[in-house]
Amino acid sequence: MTERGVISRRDFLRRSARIGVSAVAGAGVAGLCFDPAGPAPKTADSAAIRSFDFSIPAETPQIAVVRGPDRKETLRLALEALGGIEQFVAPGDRVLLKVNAAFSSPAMLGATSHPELVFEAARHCFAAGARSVTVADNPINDPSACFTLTGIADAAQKAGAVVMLPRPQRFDRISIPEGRLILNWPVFSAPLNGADKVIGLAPVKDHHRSGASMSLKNWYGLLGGRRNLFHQNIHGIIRELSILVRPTLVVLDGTVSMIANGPTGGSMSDLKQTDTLIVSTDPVAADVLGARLLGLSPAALPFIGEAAAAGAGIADVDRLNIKELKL
Amino acid sequence: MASAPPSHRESLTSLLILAVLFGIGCGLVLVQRSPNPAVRALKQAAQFPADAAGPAGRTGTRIPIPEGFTAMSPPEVYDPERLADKINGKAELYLSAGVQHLTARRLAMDGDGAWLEVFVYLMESPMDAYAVYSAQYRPGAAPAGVSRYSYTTENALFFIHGPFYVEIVSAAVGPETQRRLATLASEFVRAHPAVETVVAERSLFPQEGIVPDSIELQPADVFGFQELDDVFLARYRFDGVEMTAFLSRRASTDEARELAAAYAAFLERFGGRSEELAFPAAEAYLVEIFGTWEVVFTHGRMLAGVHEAEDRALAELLGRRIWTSLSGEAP
Repeated sequence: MTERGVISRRDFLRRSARIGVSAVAGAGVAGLCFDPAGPAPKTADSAAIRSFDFSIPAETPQIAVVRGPDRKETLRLALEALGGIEQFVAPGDRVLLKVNAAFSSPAMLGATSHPELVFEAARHCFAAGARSVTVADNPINDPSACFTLTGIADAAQKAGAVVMLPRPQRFDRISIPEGRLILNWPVFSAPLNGADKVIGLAPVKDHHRSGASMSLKNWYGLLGGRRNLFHQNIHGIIRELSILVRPTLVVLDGTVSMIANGPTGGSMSDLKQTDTLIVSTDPVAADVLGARLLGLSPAALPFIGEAAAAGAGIADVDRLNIKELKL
Repeated sequence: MASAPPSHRESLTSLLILAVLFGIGCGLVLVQRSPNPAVRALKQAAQFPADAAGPAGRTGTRIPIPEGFTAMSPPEVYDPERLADKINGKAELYLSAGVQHLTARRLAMDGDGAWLEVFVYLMESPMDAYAVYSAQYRPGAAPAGVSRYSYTTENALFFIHGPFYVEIVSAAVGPETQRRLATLASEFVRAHPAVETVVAERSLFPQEGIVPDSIELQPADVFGFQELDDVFLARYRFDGVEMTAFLSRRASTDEARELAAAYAAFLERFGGRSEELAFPAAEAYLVEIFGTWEVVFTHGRMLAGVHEAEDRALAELLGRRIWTSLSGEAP
């Protein structure tokens, strides 16, 4: 370059050569990296065989049943009865609240986890020193609409928790040990991978296929893919879900129970004020107690016996020490 | 004259600016990867103005948006294969009754910020619509007056109209909500001309002892017997003893008789024990199974009977009353 803004022929050729060499080199590197076959599909063998165990070892399950209409107070009392949330959440823990946000329906219809309970559960976790609280589910309907219209997103935000939506990259193909249904199946694993403790928050509901939807059925919201195929073997899939996830705690909300036309409901007349909150380290026992609110025995819900046989908990609740309280 | 090389200060400033821009870029990427669900829902709502009801399209269903309502979402259409994506475990109920499509849409009610969702199930026939309507009927609900088979609850309105079964579910309660639900339902009826459905079988059940609002049409696999379909059921209670009466209009007298015999044989195959039955019908069966009594008989094209009665005498009594009703005779 001889003057500002003027370029010599020699400079021009030199620069053009440099750009050309760079472009060719770049294209060459891209060509070396290019895989014309694309990524190979994962096979059953390539799926991780695993389950997610967040349970706290204990000789017997810890269960509290509190009667009353105020979720904030019943949860507080139940946790106190079990020795406080500190028994389950340690300072620095990353907690996952697995809610039921399956439908884009308002909280008052009882088809989803109640936002007040989500807020209170997150608040208790933070009070125990949790580093983070994540609220997650893979809803049946559009995830954003579900979390928004149920009021769960708002409740989570107010409590300082983060909603994790089920994006494709947050699923892994997983097979459970000795599984027959969850084989190389997409599971919403990101929230589980990033958690130290898992708390299930489920409402008590009638369910057209399984008879009832409570703590154990709540893990269905971790499945991806064409999961409705599993409706043909609904009790079998709930059994396998009980193997997939062993929670730290479940909070089964029977303050208002959906006693008919579940799992969607749609009318306030499908609901019954049952004034009961169950907090348990054992999801099987929690579901046995929740079934009573629907007027159902464990025998009417085969998934309870199957989950108990799979080691997920104890169905014979009469031999358990249940702390029963009333507001 | 060659240009002077940039000073150390200029280079540092440039690098700083580039670093800031890179940081902003990274921030944007991160924020865009996790949008606030509330913002997304609001944006979605803004996309669908009040007059965007749209054409009926391939489903033949058009959800109207009357004055006072605003669309919150586009119409969602689910065919039988995808129905569970919307209603999960309840899909089986509709699939067994011959659902063609579900069209759903959320609407906001102007003024109070409340919203509702309309679910329109297009069934194969008006009787299929009645089947899903009756299976989910909320006992004690108030008639809605939208069609012969319609009712309203605190927050919702349910009705059938031609081959449509419609649910309008609101996130609010109260008289104003109910008025708006009725408006929307009436608009839907106006937009879809259809002959009024009359379910004649309802009046064939004897009234004495019947549990109110208990008549239901089951489309398939009734009493666990695959051949038994399109059966009307009604629950009865006599002195605290409950039992179920059933009626099914078959294509011919022969078909009714063959089905009655096949059902009796089905019961016997699973441990039932046939007993003599003194009954006016030519084809009549009395079977005791698992401690309960089943009465099965035919009357012309009608297959009828009593299911799971704990008392034999009461089973026979109800069976005779159904026979009398079918005969058009005074009870």
